[in-house]
Amino acid sequence: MTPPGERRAADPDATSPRVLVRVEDLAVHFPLLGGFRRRPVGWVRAVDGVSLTIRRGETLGLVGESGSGKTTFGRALMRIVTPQRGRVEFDGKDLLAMHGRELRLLRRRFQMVFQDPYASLDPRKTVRQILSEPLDIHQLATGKARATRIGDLLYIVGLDPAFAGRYPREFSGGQRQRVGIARALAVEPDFIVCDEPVSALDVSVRAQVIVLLERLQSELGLSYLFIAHDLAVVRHIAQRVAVMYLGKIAEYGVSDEIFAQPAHPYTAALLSAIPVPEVRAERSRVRIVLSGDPPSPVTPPPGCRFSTRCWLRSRLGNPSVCATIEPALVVVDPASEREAACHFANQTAAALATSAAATVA
Amino acid sequence: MRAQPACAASLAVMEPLLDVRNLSVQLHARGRSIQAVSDMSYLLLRGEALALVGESGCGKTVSALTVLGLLPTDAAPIVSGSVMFEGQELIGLSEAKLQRIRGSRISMIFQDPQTSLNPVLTIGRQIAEVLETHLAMSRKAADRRAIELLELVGVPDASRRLGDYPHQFSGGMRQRVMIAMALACDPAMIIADEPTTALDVTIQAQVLNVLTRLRTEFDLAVLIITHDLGLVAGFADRVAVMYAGRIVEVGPTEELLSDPTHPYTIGLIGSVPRIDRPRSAALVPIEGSPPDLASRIVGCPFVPRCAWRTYICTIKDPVLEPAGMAGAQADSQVRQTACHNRPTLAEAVAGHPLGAVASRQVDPGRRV
Repeated sequence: MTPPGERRAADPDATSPRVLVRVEDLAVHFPLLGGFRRRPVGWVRAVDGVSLTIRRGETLGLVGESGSGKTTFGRALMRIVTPQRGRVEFDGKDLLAMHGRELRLLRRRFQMVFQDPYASLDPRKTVRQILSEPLDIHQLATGKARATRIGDLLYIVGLDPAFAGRYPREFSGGQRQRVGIARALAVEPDFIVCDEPVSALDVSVRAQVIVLLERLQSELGLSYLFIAHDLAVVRHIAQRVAVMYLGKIAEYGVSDEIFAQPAHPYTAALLSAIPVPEVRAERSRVRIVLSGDPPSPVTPPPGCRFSTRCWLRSRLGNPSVCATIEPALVVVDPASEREAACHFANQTAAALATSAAATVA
Repeated sequence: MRAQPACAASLAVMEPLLDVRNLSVQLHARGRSIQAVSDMSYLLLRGEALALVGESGCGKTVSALTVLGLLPTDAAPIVSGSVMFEGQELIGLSEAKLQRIRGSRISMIFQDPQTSLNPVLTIGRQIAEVLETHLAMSRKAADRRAIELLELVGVPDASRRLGDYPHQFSGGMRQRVMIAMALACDPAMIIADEPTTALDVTIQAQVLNVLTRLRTEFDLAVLIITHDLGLVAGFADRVAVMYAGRIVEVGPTEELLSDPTHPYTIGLIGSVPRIDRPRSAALVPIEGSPPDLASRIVGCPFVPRCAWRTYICTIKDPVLEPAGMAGAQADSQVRQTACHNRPTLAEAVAGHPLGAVASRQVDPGRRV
């Protein structure tokens, strides 16, 4: 675990007014029920001590494989699940300490867009009813003003305002996701958690929704937490990125730098696995194929969580420190605030260069 | 290493493994009839990997299931056209004869290994069953062969895992088991329907490596169905791009991806963010959505979304015609595009038409 004191010293965002959301040491554990009486027999450490910040008007990408805890993290921010420990500050206010009316008032300012536009819209409600709900709950618009507002919302997400009377089934997947985005925008939020918003969509429609999210951000000054497993999409949309592995952050920093020169061996492996739609580039690509599957978050490996699959560790002759001491997330590049949780982060670049040379030879 | 890509000459000379001609499929659901596949023709050579690329509902899976006679009967499919496999017509073949071909000469790998394995049978039993049914192996011999097959696809500790059930395997391992089953009877051809879509990116790489290695080792022809152009670039020799139930462009992978000649292919390529390009490179999405295949389509099905459309596109459905670099005659047999107003290479790179669209003359040979 990262000692919070040390983090703060290195974190230029510690007291900066440009920070909208600050998360400190957030942990979400789910009980694993077993036996006839369904008693807890263990804990799924879905999120296990994550600290990060989201700045005003920026997109922070959160990437990781299934089971990495990225979706649970997003849900904890929305207070859909309750964290075991940690602190979430939204615009300077302690989110986890809030209840009732106070929370409801603040909730207006953060919203969520879900992965599956088929499952996240009520099939028995028209688009008008779906969009009216948040307006009613937060008493934002009634009567004629409401009708105008719904028309505006549909227009801003690129749908014909005349579609307000239609049901979700009458829309395609991409159009449904637009309705989901319009619903999130209805309450004029500052911050939107986008949980795999384009994963369920077809390639051409995916690009439409990404372009829409980008346009809305620049027009409305929104901040996004963009959760996705597709690194190419995240790189495109996010200014900064956090890479999660088994409930913890493996690497955290400016998108361009991480993608150009990853410091954590897991990030390097993830990047090398992304195929490129061009034959020569694709066939000469240096690939690091990880062996095995991610371990279970119920019993994470001792020491570094990635040590059981780590290519860099085996390259270095399996140093024992990786299997005994958990690496803290520390600054690896003071110039750019980049952080990585690896004992040998300073050797990743050299190891990558030699594997590239080996492939060419 | 990869298999040699098919060259134009071999297409003309060699007898193809699979020869699909004028295949059309109509399905029925909830009182509507859907033209899922329209007049589709393609060849697959021995040992070749052909990718069928397109978005959901474009007919790529339906056309592949038709080859195996696996269309759901409750959709009351009406199939016309011809599917010749190893010199035998598969359309209209009796179920008993089809069953002998399925699993032994042509096998299939599905997207979701979770639902395509039987949860109450051990992995060993499921593989051995294929061997006992198709090759009349004894139970003992089948079990031995099952271990060999699991080792072949890289399942560690194969002899012990034979007694495990599907839920004890991870997603990537289950997909390896599916590949082992598909290989059991030494088929000439595998149909792989989105084989890595449900897997994590690091696991995708593992499974693709297994598929690529086995393809060369067994001289397998693979019909791979996918929407992932990156996967296509690394795996397929040729690509057929599908839209609204038809092939709109077909050609060797390298040429097709670097020099697309159909507006839809250009749109697909422009829609994918690239890890090897500057982050600021803008996405060029295709506006609108695909047509409803239950209603009659007049003209080119891509017209409502096409930036290159001309008057003729709205009245006449274009057919596949030779395309590609002018003068490269040999290519004319493998590179085909169905478009009345082909974008130039410069336009393909830009992602939109250059100059006045309306005044453009149609000239199939024109390339930059």
